[in-house]
Amino acid sequence: MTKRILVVDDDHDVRTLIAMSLSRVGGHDVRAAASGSECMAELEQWVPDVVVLDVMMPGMDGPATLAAIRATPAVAEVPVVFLTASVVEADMERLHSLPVSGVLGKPFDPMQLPTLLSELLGW
Amino acid sequence: MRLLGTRGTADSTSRRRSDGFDSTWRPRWFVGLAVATLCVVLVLVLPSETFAWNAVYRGATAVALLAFVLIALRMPRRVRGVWWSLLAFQVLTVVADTVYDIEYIDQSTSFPGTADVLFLVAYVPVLVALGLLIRGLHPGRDREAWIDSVILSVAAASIVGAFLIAPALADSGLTGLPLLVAIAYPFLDLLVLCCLVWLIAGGGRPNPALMLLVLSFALYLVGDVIRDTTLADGIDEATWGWLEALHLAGLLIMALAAAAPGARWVSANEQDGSSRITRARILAMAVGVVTVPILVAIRITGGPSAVNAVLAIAAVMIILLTIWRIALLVRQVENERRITEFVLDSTGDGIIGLDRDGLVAFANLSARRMLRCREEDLVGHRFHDIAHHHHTDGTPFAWEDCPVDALVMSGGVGTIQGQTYFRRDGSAFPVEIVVSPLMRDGVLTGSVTSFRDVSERQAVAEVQRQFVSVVSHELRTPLTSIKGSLQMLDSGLFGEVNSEQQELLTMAVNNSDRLSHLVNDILDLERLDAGRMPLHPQPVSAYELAEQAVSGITGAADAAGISVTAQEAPPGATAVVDVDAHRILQVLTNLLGNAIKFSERGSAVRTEVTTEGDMVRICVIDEGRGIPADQLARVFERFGQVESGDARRHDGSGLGLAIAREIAVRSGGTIEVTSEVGVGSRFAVLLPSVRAGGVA
Repeated sequence: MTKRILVVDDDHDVRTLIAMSLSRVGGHDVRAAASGSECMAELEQWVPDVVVLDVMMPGMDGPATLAAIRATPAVAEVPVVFLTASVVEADMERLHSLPVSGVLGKPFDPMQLPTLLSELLGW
Repeated sequence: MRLLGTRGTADSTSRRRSDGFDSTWRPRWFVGLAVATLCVVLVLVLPSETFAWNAVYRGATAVALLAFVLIALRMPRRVRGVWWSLLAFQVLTVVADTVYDIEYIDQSTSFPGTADVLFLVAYVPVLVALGLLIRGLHPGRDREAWIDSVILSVAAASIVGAFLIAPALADSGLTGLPLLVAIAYPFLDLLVLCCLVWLIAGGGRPNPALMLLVLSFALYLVGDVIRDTTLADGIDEATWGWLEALHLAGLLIMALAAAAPGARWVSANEQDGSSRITRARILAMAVGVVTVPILVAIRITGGPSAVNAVLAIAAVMIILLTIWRIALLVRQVENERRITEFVLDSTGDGIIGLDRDGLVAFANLSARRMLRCREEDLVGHRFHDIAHHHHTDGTPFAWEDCPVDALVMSGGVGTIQGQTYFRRDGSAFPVEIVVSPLMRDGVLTGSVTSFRDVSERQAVAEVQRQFVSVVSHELRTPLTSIKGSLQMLDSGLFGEVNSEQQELLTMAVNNSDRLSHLVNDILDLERLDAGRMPLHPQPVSAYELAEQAVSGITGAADAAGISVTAQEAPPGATAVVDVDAHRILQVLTNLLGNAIKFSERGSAVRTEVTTEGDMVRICVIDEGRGIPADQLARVFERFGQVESGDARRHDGSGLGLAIAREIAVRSGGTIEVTSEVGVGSRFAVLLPSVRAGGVA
């Protein structure tokens, strides 16, 4: 089943790769944003089924963007999945403690990413 | 004479302590004791001055002296002076005894005669021996030991003299020099005896040789007291018999002492507590110091006499020596206090002494500086209220809830981290606290609590954490793009590629994988080194772990044409380990990956689980090329890849086994390898097992 997915990552290449993976491999309807503020602007016009959110971004980072999403009534209930390159245990614990549906690590296998996302969200 | 020898035997060395103290009683020593006892009994029962009596008495004396000489010659250098001095004492007493007999035969006996002078001179080497003993047992503090010994000896001699000898000598009509000589014998015996008892009362391990010396001088004392007390009425034959027997017994026991266990250690400063101011020593000193002046006071009321004058001199001597000793003690205590204060103030850690109510008894310079407090701000106040009154987050911290004070009151030992102390100005700093109980005579009186400002350490840890975080992000983000793009191309999603393009793609995918592993390994090691890879141990079956690891690597094994099998758990077999399953899987996967990498196509790799006491051994066994013996030790080193010799280079960072060992060790286990070139290798991970009811 096609889902609407908003991919947020400041790195152009990674953003493109995720979008390509989810659209070409997973067959989903994907939009992309390059920052937390772009993400919030996009959400004003388009409510996705999930936001795949990078953690380490300049300006509004992942947790800050998540807080903004949860504070916006129209999209407060939208599931969010973090994507992080961090291996620091404390970082991972902190991310898991936030109201997200899951945390995925980088690097990931783009051929497997749609499946992983489906499993996380129970699609 | 060999009966009394001290040469060791194979059997005796087995009971020798690590420091060389030999506590073995040898059979030949007991033979010597039996012969000595027989001789003393014969001297008692045989008619005096008969041929048989002389044969036994003179023979035993000669044999004992000869034995003593032989033993003294074999003594180690550290105690040679003691035993040679005692030997000199014995030789002089035998000479004096012989002179006495000649004077007696010539009917020229007078008191005091030449023999008495010789007898008294004989005590000079004994005093030398005592000096050597005291110096050996009280290194650097022999002056204090001498004063203590003299106080005690003079006190004891005064008491014995006043109650026993003085009444007897009062009727003897002796005055002047004869009286002094008569008093000198028991006094010197007592001096030596008290010195020896004093040394034994100083603690340390019991020394049989010292105890036998005490017995020897006790016998001399008894003999001299009998002699002095019977001097007034004239000494009869029976008494002479006893005196000779006691004298011979004293000599024989001293020779036996030289052959007894501990003889080679009589003046060795022991490390297990000898030469201390023990309760026995304090009690003896107190009795002496208190009794003698009282005794003098009582006797002086009875009118002036020579004995009273001697006692008064003794009392004055004891008082003066006691004052001197107290002065030395005060100086010593003051010096020790200064040293303790200097050591405490020199350390960078804050050290505070707390009583059981948490009140500060002392605070060192670092503690005062860190807390920006004066001594009077701390001492006598509850430390928690001064420096630990709030939590790190600023909420009030009740004393009753403080884990530090709970530890202090329970007498526990422990390190408490994550606490915050507050300075006098209200500023806070993070501390690590170590609590140790303060015990006095087995009773808990408080604690010594040391604390360290860990602000810098925390700042460094934070910088390290940020470094790893940034590095992992900066390395893994481009890797994500490279690897992901190649994987998508390689998947054929965007159309087929020709064989040359496919070869290049495969090469790029493999190398991006390799780079990814290297980055992961470096980050893992950094986290292990920084202690930021917490392990979460839980009971898990070792068989299951091995199966999971094998299952996870089957794809790679199939591609390499190698069969990988996990040993099935035998019926009823349990091998449950208490480990972080995720990390041990990482270890096993690494070992299996290496086994596959270094095995030829068609060969087999297998796992094996065995239990060894409290440990479980999980082995990964291959039929690969093996590792040369001279390179086995290197395999667990970082970047310590084995030189293959065939110029084949295998993928890998050279960090995998270093990480595996680190994880195994942090899991409470270890990792081992055995290998034979051309046959294969066996890597074994040993992990702590869980028995029924808990961790083994």
